[in-house]
Amino acid sequence: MLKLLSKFGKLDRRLVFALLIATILIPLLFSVKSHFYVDAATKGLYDYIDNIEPNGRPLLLSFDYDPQVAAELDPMARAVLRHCFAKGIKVIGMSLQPQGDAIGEGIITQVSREFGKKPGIDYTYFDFRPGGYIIMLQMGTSVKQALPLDYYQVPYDSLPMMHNIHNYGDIAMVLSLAGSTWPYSWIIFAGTKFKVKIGAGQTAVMAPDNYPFLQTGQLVGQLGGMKGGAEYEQLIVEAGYYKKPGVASKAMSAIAYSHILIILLIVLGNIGYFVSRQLEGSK
Amino acid sequence: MSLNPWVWIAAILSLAIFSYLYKDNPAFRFAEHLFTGLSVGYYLVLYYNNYAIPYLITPLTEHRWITLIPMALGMMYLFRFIPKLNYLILIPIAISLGFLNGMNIPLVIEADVLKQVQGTMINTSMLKNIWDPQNGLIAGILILLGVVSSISYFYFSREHKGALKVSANMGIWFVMIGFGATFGYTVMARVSLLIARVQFLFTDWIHLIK
Repeated sequence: MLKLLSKFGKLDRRLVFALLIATILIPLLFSVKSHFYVDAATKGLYDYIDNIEPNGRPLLLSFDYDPQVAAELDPMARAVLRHCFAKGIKVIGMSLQPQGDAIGEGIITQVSREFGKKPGIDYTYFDFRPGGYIIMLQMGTSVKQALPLDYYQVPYDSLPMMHNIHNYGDIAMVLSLAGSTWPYSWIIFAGTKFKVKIGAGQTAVMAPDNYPFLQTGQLVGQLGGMKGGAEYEQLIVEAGYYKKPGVASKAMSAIAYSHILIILLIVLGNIGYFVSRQLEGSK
Repeated sequence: MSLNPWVWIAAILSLAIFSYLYKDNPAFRFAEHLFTGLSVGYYLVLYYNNYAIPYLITPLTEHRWITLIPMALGMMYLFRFIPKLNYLILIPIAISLGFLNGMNIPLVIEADVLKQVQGTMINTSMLKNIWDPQNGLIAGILILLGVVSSISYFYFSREHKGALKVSANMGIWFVMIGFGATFGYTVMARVSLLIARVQFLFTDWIHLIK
């Protein structure tokens, strides 16, 4: 028995990978559903967006991410856009990452078509401008100066929904979706300096870094990883803004079972390690 | 199965990358080198179009000669390769640092220091809902204890004895809980990426998942 237990400390990594793939694939293939609670940070962000007046001040959605983290952030972007368009909230899209530019345009176009929304009237997607912090600071005084052209090279003044937008004072909130520290930069250069409300959608790796900012109210809310996306999908479905949950919700059971497997393997690995040490000591 | 050739290319390259999980092999190395080459080429074009053209080439063709100053400063970084003039790279570095610090320091002090210190303090509004996990009194006491004890663990000017030892030991527990939460999130991130790839292979490629 002890010898069998000691083997768990030296499991072949290929077996671990095979087990992990199986635990992910089986729930996806058989559409196994799992229940999950909605985090306070997600609810905070949802409530804030839900309270934005339809056709009032727009939401600024910044796609500050690259394709390598799109798996986690795309579902969040879709869910937030569906919420906004269903409620009649206008959206300003932009990106501080050169690769995020095309990702954002693809998503905003797809979701706007679902709701029959028109570019320049219900939403605007701005062309990428390099500069990061400089763009954030510039937008505090003049959005037009920071973002002179939309993605399709239409000048700022020709975009009807931008006529009354001059600076952060005319924007309801900034939501930055990122796999890096862009939300932190938004907090510093837009939130702290210009007092605009900031929300974040972060990859799971980055999400814990933001908890101090949530606790102090510097962030109104946060979506953390695929679970954050799934929670937002659930909230908009429950509120009747959208008919069915998206890909993040479908992935939740796979996440749950794979985590159980990982915890089990960590426990077994530790038991195996201590048993093998005991066996070596007795020799 | 998908009839889109791009989906097939993406699927085959994904499998080539996954093959590394079994062991290193030529299929993995091909996909790895292809990815690196494509990324470098893509970024080169991206930076040229988004940085060099609008901020350097266009202004110069429009005779805005002031652009020559930042251009010269940027090019000074190349003195790194001339040992005798090596010291000249300090000029652009000093300007960048001065600019960034001037821009950052006042805002960082407000957002990272003042607000965070304020967030650690216990105030009377916490008495309204003692058990609120975010703004209740219990949460406030825990945050205060966690911050003070964690900082005391990193105080090395005195030997950890007596009250400092108790506090430092408590700090270790808070730090470990923080690491645990971060590790849990990290595992979720990696698993999420794997799930997305599996979803792509079984949904977009072989249409097995509806």
